[in-house]
Amino acid sequence: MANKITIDPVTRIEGHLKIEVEVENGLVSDARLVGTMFRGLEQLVEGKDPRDVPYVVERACGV
Amino acid sequence: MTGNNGQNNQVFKMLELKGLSRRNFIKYCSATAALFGLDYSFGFRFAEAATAAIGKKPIIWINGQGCTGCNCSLLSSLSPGPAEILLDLVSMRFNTTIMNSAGYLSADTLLETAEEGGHILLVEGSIPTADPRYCMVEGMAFDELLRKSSKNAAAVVAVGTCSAFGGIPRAGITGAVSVEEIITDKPVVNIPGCPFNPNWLVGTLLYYLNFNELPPLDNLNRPQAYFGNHFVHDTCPRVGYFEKGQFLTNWNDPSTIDWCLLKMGCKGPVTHSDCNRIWFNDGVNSCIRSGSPCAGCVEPQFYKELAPLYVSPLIADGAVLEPVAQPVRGIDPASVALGAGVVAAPFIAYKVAELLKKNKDGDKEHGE
Repeated sequence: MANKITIDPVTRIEGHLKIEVEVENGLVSDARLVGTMFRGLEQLVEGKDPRDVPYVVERACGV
Repeated sequence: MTGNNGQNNQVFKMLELKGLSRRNFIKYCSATAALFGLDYSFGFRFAEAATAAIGKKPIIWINGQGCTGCNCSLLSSLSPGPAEILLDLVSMRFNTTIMNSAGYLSADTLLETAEEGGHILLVEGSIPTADPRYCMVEGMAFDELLRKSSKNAAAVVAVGTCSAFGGIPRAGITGAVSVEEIITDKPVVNIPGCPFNPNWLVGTLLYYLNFNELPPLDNLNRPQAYFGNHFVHDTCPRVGYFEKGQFLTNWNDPSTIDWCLLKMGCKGPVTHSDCNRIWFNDGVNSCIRSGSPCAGCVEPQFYKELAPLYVSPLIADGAVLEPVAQPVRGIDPASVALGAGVVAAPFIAYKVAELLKKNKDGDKEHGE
């Protein structure tokens, strides 16, 4: 029987991250990393002045 | 535990005399937890217990659709430094960027502190409304978490433009809104900025902790001391060149490197902030001083209505536009003209028009 471990939120990182690990007989059988936040920066800069793009997309991560 | 005040301070003082800073004390706590055979995430709890015992105001810092840049701005404050802010001033109970514990340990801390009440809630990042799945924390939609943690809060502070006005995410597809639009039953202090200046937050916190009330706010709920009374333009280090009508129009011309950036899209004349007075990174520099035109990041129109960034809102094709009153969500449109006071902005536009007329012949236009 798989034992599922969920760590949400993962801390000391920028943004939002969830880890799901499935353990079977003491071995990891499946693992998932889930980014739980979305802003759509790519769509946001569509049709904008190209000079704005570095300014906007550098806000993907402020750390 | 408040009776232990003196004793705890003595402990800290003694540790400091031995060359151990308070920050290192947290590391020490983590190591101690490990020595006891506990997960080192208990280190944070140990240190937390120590600070809670000194009776500090609990703080919750939650992140929505943001980039954690504001968090880093606060942590790079040097006077007071992060240790002084986090340990002397307040008791930071939840801040995912710096806290040691993760998963349910940290989530429990958040929910317990929120349930206890009386805390200061700091919110970074906007709140998605198009679909809750755009921001999930602990399996919970972010707006739900925000409501839960603000319910018993003594004060709610939106830090950074994303949470104060929607900021950059508001221009996207996720229906991002500000804290004010979700929390309607209590006042929200807005400390915008992309990122904000740590002095704005630390000053506001100090005011609140000393007087137990919010500082005087402007019509956009920003602390008046930092935002309400002046424009970026007023204290601009390049204002002398503005007065002489010397505008930088070519980035590659070293002889004009210090000239006024208005023609390169500077929003300084319509932006309320004291950036040019107190500067960033503990007085190292400010955007305009380092050669970047003001983006107007503390105004509610940022980024959507102030784009493109390198085109001035006051100039198009060399002609000066009159600032137009724009309706801002929940704010009296009559008092807002492109984020500027109705009296000051037309005055500046008029001055700019005059200067441009004067310099029309001698000044080559590059693009805008």
